[in-house]
Amino acid sequence: MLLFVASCSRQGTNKLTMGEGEAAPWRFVRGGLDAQGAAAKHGFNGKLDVIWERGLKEKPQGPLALANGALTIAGAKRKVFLIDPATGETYTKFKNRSSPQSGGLLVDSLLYNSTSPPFNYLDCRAVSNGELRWRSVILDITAPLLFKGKRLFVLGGDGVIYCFDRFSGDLIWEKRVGGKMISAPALEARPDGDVLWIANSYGWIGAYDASSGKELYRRKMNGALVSTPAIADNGTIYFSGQNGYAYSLSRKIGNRATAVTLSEMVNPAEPLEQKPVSDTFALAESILQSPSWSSPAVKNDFAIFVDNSGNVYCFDSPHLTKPLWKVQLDGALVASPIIVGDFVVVGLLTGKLYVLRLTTGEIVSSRLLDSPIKYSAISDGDRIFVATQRKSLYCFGSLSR
Amino acid sequence: MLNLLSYLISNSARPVTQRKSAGKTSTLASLAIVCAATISLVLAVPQSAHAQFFFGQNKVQYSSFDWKVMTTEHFKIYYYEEEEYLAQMGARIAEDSYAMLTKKFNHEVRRTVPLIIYSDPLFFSQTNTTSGFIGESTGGFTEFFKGRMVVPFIGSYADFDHVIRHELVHVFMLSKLSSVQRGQRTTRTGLPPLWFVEGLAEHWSTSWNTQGDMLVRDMVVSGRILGIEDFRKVWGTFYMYKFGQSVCEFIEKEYGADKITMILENWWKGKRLRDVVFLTLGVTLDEVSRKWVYSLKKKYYPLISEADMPNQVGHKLTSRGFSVKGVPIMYDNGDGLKEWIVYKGNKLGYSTLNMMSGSGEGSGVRTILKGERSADFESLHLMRSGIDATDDGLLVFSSKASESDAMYLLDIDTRKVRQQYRFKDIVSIHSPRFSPDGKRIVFSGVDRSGKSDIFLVEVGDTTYQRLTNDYYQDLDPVFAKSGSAVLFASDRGPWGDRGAKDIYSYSLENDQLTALTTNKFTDRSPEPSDSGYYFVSNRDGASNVYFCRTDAVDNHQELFAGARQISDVTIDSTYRADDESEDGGAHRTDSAGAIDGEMSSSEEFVQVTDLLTGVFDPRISPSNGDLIYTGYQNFGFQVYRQGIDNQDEKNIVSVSEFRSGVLKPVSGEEPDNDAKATEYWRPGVIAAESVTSDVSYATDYSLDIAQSTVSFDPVFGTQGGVQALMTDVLGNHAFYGFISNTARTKDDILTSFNLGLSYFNLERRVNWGFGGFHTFNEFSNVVDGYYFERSVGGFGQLRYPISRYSRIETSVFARHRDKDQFLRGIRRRSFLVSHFVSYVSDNSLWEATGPIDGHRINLTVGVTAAVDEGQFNDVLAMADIRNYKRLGRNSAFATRIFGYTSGGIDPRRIYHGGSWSFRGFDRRQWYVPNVVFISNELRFPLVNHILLGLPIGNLGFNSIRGAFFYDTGAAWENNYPGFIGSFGAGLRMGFGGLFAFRFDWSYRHDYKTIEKSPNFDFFFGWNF
Repeated sequence: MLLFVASCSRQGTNKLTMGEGEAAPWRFVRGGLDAQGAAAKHGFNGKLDVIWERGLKEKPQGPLALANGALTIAGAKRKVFLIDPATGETYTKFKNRSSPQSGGLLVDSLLYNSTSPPFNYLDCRAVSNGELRWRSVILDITAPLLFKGKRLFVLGGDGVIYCFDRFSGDLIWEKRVGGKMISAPALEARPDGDVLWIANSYGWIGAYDASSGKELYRRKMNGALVSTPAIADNGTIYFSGQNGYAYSLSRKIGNRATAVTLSEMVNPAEPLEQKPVSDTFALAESILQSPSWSSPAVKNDFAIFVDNSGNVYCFDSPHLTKPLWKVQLDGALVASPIIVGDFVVVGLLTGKLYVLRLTTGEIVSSRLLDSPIKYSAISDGDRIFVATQRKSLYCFGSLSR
Repeated sequence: MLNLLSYLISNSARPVTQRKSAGKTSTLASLAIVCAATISLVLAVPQSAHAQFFFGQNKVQYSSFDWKVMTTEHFKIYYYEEEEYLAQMGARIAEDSYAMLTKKFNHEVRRTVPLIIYSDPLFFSQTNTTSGFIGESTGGFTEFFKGRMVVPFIGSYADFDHVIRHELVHVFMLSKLSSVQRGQRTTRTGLPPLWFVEGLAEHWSTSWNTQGDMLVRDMVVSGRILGIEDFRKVWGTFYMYKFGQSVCEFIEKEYGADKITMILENWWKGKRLRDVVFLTLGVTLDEVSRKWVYSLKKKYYPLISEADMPNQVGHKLTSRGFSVKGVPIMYDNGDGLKEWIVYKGNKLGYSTLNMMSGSGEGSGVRTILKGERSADFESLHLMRSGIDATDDGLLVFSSKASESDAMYLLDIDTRKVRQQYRFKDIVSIHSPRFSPDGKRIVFSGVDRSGKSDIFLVEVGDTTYQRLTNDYYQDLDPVFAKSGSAVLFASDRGPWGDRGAKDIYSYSLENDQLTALTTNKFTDRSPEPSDSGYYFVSNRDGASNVYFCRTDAVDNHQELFAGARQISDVTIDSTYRADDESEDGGAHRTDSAGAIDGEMSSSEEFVQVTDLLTGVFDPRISPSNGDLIYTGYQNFGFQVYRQGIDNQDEKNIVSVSEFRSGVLKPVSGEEPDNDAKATEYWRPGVIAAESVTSDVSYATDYSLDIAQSTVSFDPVFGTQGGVQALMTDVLGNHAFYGFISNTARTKDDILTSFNLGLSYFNLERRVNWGFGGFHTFNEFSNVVDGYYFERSVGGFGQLRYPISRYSRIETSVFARHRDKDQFLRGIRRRSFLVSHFVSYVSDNSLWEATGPIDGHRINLTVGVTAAVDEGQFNDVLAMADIRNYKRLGRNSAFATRIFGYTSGGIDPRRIYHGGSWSFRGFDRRQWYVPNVVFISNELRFPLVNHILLGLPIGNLGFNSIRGAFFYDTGAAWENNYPGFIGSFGAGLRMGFGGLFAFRFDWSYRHDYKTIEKSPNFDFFFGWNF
């Protein structure tokens, strides 16, 4: 109610969707519409003119999110902010008992977020009046939340994957996988049922039935995985390894591999609880120059990886044999890149934001911001939103059309 | 011997937290304290003359430096002109390290980091960036107030790289944790435990090496494995560094390379490291400890089947404390010619030179020289420098003597110094060795620019010959048996930039330099014999002795059949600027490849010892050819004796293992016959375009401390105030200010301010300061009753340190004083000028509860004139002499003689009585101008450590000491009352060097009767 009143007092319409409406298919925290890290809309022309710039009340904690006409920012201390992407003004904010470290997930009029230890809450709150709809306690959720339909997928710090009914808070299923799951899961929409792809710090990449949690596939990599998988249109799964590897899992059709560059295959001796998916996977890997704490982004045939040294790699095939291009930027890099139209957008710890051309790697534009960029930018296809460690929020785009 | 691995019994490098040894205040801290105390003294604020910080040693600024500042992208490098090349090297290392650590920490440090470089540890020990003394084992430090990195160059590029990177890890960690906590706006979480802080710094600055392996092997094999929960037992020592490094390495290996970074990222989520570890790794810290210990056992237990511990195959000649650098001689002390061993030791806290029978200390030990108590022998460089002796009983060694090292020739029999050598351009002197005929001495020396080279001097002559002159580290020189060549260890070989050292031979006849070994390992401590030479090498994972059987040590032309002499090799690469390779920027040749030319057929390498831990400084016994060496076992170094067989065929080592490098230099110039010009690698320096400015240093101040307090006293009411300290980057200049208010009502506010501002200059040897103050307060004592006193004035101070152990200080105060004894209707206004002069001498050695060896002396005289009245206001004289006679490791007999007298119109009275002075009597029982007092105390250990296992956790008590004391004295105003006394016993317990609790139980007497009831005193404070 308060929000409704507040919104009515402003000029213009309330951009927050109040009713059920069209749910923002929120499968990925970067970009908008799919598990790719790429915005489908592409009005962005590569220019980094400042549309607006705002100060945040808290340092950002975790990547930005964009849905239902609101920019969701989790503060490092306690609050989750909902911000008007057009103007940067704050719609509203919600205070938690401790840091909302998994970021905020806004679906229709419900806001989901977790809080850090010692409270370890998973809260569902009504945006209209801040009412707490339901709450669960799960240890140290750091990975961003994911939803599809009425299901909310949560990766617990206790090594368990949870699936909740996001309206009632009832637990639909849970699955213990072990290890810390730091990065967000990715949801692959498949005709035979959605599949949840998850990487964990023990080095496992796993696929789980989104409806039941049953394990469909698991593979051990060399070193920890802190990356969110990116799923290409052809079903190739891209992810990076913390110790500096770019991986892809390509589907083998029938008995013939579509792409095999390494000898490692799924070990038949490894127990799987369920018959594996009818497709099996071939693993390809490419060694990056440095460790990578970031998640790749993929669009069509292009897969973008980055590493800590500031190198940006573009692969144009799931073979990952040789990058199409590689650019060395001037600084360390932990934020994940995003693809917006024909451009790659990536921010560095030095505070520099770069826009590269997707097909060639040419630096189209760059801008030095006031402080390190630790988390991925986000885009609605026309504009780029990025937050810095000095509590600044920027909106970039083109002032001239 | 071991650059960083030294003084394991003492406080080693403390880069992060600032901890002072109790009682050893110095420089700024003591100046501020003395200032405050002196102001109080002048202002007649009643002070106990038995103040706890009346003495102290001195950090003497022997050297003056013309500082410059080089600014790069992330650093401001402070250096002086002589070490400009070091500064460029350091800048390069710092920027490379920054780029690496940014990725490790996922963090950028958003401020320019000050990096202060000293070209020698002796200069480094003079730094004012920290108020505490810097031990010889300190390789560098990072301090909190200004985030400064302060590092010395100890002669080795690889070590320089290591220490800069190590300190930078601290800078990053502090910045990262601060950023993480600031983001969460939480201040409840402190820093990780010291073992983790230092362990991570080691882990991310250097790879696991022989030094660390030696410590861990010994710990495991000796059955004294410490789990993480027991690291407090080695807190602050080099063990802690290496154990911590091992744990960090294990965590990354076992749980993932990302886990250390994640622990730092998650730091805000828990109150303690164990909470964060559990959240990050999913297992408890105890589980990590168990797994780590188990992994060590798996790794090191099997080694027992392959190698031995020193005490299993050798005879341990020394015990207790540390004993190193044994030198066997055949000497006649009047009882016939027999073998003796001269060695260095530290058994009771002071380093000493000793002599024992060739069969060990059990047959008797004689102390030849006690170090660390006088200016001439301020530091004997226990681990860093060897000694030598002749069969005639002449001992040569080096010691810190004031600004630089001096080399001494000492007669073993008379224990008198026959000759002292000081060289103007040589700062440090290490490991002197006699020539076979005893007429010459060769040593490793470091000049003001930081170069470590080989020098030669004739006995009796003070001029020296410099054999090498370059930035390679040259160590352990020794004459060949013929005397025509000098063997030494150097890092000038192809892998020297990574710390590898090889053995070289320098011909004194034709100045030719020949590499006797060339490989990736550390070969050191050559020791010639008739048929070749011994040396120490770590090629099998531990430092062991090898023997090279050759007749070519002196005959350089025959050593190699091919073109292997350094001056003969051809050039095949050119100098490259800004090498981006991963080896830290050193310009180098390509590695590997076979040596060109044929090996000499007369050469053979044999492994002589095969010990698990470490062997150092080998010497051959003249009596029976045994090996005398320093061995490491059971957390310590001792001197061992071991029979050897260097003819053993099965221990023959392939020559190619020792000659695995390509002897091709980097330099693009054709070499001439001067072998010194040949380079195999050159330390990388910062590119010119990366330097944004390079200017002379202009004093750059910033705030160090600002603190405020509010207090309430039921008699004197509420008081509150602020004090602040501001110093410059180099710590040479300081401003100290305070302001408080003692008003009772708001009408008094303006007139009740207390404020003071003072400036201190510590840049030169003479420290000086001045300041002004205004104070107003109400006071009370038994003589004057209640009174108000207002003082306005200024002061000046001078302090001249004669040496580290003694100084003269003087201060002058001029003030207008308004003393209003309002209850008695007496008011006196006068302009007073006071002058005090003190002589202070302090070479005491402290243990957990107070001094236990040495002495402390303070002699002070002073006079105050009432200038406007034309008369003396008061005069005073004080003597406080304390001596500590060491009886054992933790026991001593302490004596104190104290005398104080003051006269004049308004004599200065002092409080006397209580636990800090006259035990058995009430604290501040007397307030008088005349005191004579003598105290005797027998101090002894009771319990070193008690651990109570309580349901809520463990409670430990350390260092519980006992004392028997006898105090006697007199205190009077006008009429001398005669001596009275007290005697009794006491308990003391130290708390980590911060303070000590004391409990005394005593009986009073007047030399006629003894009181029947005992008195009990429970208080805090150090032993006198």
